[in-house]
Amino acid sequence: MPEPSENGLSQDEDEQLVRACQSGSLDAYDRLVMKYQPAIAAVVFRFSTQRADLEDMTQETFIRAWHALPRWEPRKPFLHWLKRIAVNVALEHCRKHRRSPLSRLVDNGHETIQLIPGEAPAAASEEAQHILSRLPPDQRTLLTLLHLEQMPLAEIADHMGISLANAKIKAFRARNRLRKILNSHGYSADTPL
Amino acid sequence: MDTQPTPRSSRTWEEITTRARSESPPEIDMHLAVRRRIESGLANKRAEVSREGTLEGIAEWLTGFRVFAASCAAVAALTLLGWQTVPVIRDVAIVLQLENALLAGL
Repeated sequence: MPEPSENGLSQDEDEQLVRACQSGSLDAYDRLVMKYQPAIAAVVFRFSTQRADLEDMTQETFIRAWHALPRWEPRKPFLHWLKRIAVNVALEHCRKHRRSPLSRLVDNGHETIQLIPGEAPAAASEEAQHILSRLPPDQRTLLTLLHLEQMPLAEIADHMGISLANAKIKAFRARNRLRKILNSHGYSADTPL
Repeated sequence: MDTQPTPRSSRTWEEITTRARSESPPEIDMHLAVRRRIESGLANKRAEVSREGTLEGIAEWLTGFRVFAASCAAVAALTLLGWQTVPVIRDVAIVLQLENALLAGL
């Protein structure tokens, strides 16, 4: 009995749907998108709480996945493969937006986060992203996945296409930099990173 | 100028990230938008193929024209060369005739 994946579809069902997609079936791809878009949206949400960014990154992930379908290997879980694409889309988003949209709302360095009326509250996520946006893109991506998604470092390394040793070095440097950012912005310096 | 001290926050990074992890994204449904983009991409690909066919036809015509032009140039060059060598051949023929006449006289 094949084990179900995170979204209830078994690996065999994923493989059948992907084969149908590779033959050109857009209906099969619709099914994959509808099944996995909540999981992908949850990952990219760690990088931006703005709805437009969320929709763009989710859409971009699935468009790239469509074009990369011939390269999917059935031995790897489909969701894991999709997440790798999502992480790369998010990394590009970080490179394009070196500062979070909330940076312009910060008044003279005081951490005054103003929620936009009518938007769903995600104050802590916005605050975390605002702080992390001060890091270089690759460090931001790594710490976002480590602290907000609680992804194991080995999985992060795999998604970012780097070795585990390299990921550990980046994580060390990123934590040191984050500590300085937190200190300079008035956060408690005692927090373990 | 006195710089204002950075206000200390009671929040720790651990508290912020713990709260952030409990927050969920809004529900979105991108499957129609994804499908439209894929279909549009496929349609563009088909249009590109037919555009490429037209462009290839023009390129072939130009290539053929270049071959024709090169052939005409070669024929013109040979004709010019031939035109210039005719007097030389005539002179050589006259010399040979005179030589034969002299030998016959001997």
